[in-house]
Amino acid sequence: MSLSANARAWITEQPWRTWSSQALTIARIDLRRGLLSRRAWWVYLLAFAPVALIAAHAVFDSSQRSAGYLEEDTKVLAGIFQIYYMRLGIFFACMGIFTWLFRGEVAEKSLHYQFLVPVRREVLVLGKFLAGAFTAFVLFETAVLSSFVLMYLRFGPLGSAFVFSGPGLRHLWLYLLTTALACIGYGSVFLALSLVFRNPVIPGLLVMAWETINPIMPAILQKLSVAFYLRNLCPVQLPAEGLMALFTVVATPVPAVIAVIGLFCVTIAIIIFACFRIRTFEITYSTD
Amino acid sequence: MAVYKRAYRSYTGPITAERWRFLVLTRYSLSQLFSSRAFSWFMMVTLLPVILSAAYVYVTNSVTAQLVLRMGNQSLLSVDGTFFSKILIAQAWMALFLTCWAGPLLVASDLSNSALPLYLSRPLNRAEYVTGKAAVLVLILSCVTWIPVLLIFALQSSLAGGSWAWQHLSFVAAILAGSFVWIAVLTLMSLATSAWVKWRIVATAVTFGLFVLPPGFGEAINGVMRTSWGRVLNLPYLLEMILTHMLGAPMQSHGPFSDQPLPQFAAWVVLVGVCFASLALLNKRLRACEVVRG
Repeated sequence: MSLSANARAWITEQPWRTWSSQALTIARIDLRRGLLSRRAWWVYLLAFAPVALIAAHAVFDSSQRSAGYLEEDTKVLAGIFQIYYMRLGIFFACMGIFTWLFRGEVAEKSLHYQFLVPVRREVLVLGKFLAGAFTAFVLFETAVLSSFVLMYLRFGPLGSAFVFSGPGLRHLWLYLLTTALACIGYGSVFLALSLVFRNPVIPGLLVMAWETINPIMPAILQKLSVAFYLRNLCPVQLPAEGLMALFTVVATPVPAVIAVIGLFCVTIAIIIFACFRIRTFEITYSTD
Repeated sequence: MAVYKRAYRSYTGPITAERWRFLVLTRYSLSQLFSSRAFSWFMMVTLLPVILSAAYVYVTNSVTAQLVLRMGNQSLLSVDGTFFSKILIAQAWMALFLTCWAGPLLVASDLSNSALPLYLSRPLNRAEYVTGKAAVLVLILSCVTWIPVLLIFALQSSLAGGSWAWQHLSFVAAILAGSFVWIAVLTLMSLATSAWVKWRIVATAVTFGLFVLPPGFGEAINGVMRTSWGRVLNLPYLLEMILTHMLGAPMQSHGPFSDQPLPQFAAWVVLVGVCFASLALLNKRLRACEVVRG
């Protein structure tokens, strides 16, 4: 039998339906523990703090509603998205959510229960990743959408003209797409780190340092970061400031399609790595 | 096999003086930290900016070195307030990374394993416990902040002549004041977060997050509200304000939305306020008894 026929036979023999239902069950359990628990208050705070700020601005700054302010607010929204959400909010939320999927179980000394259940460990990884990704998606997509709506709602007809007859809808779509990609990109990185290191936060901080200094790296090295692809997708580009501006290397931007496919491929590769890693994962609660 | 009768015998060795008993905690915590080879390496990495700065000071003062490096008459940046503020800011970031690593190891494990009553049942009170743990961070952070920067000051003084040191004696006060404020902020915030969070991984993330996330939110406040007061959330920026003011150096532009400077008193009020708030949190959390619900 040829190699492709073997592969096809292997694929058809696997219990995909069982695995997917197991993964969904695990995801549901983790969702209840992550998204709907009181302990997740800080993720809500991270996601919705700028929304509250923009809402206050919409309510109290009722005088600033001219076209000039609309243009300025578009830049402010781009700043909030790129500086707060992309660089900090989503990054830290993913660090917390995805790292806690396994390390949280280790800290609470409950991971062995999941390892004793007759479920493949790879399915466990996928189920937990789904739960983390859904949590991050729901919170940050809602937050970004609310920020966008509140920012333009106060301009009335001018705002709706910008959104529905101007570039507004395209901006919104790109913000939502970038948010989704950031969630799965950073999420997969932190899931894998949590399976490799006992304290994945310290390598996580190195990842953050890498992502921050990335614009001053040579063009080829810039492509080895999540932030590079995300920056390319942002609808409004912010100029570099301070010392960073002096050393920033402008790399050729990649087309949006390649950025999206590239990030998806990186995410899948990291999850496959995590699946291999979980096979040899051992728990020693006393040392962890 | 002979079996000897064993009975209680009191300790007859040397006893640590009462006022220095907190140092026992410091000693054990330091040995625990430095038992990790990675931490020792990281400690050395944090001194890299200082080593580079020392080389820079040497080249600036040595005509021979400039000739060897073929610099000719090219004027280098002088060793002034801006230079010292930049080294100290670089070292302040290194100190932050060190705190993220070392801080959560000090208190979090004691609390998560309910070991605090064991400490406090010995002749050691809460203040001494905190002092003992804080002394670890103060020692480590001193080794990467004011001590190496003062050594650079000494190097520059010896190379540039005694008059330079006299003319710039105010730099010493600025270096010491800036470093001590930053060390106090880092130490107390790290101990407070470790005491409240308990889990080491989370404590590391929270300690770093408290220095990185609020500045981002502060920039959002600046952008939306058209103000510069959002920067009071940016602790590294406030330290930079204090340092540049005391060293007479110009302040760099920060953030895309506002270049209006904040008043100096705001920086002092916020940093001192953070220290007191951290102390209050520690006071609330560190108790000899623990109420377990459920």
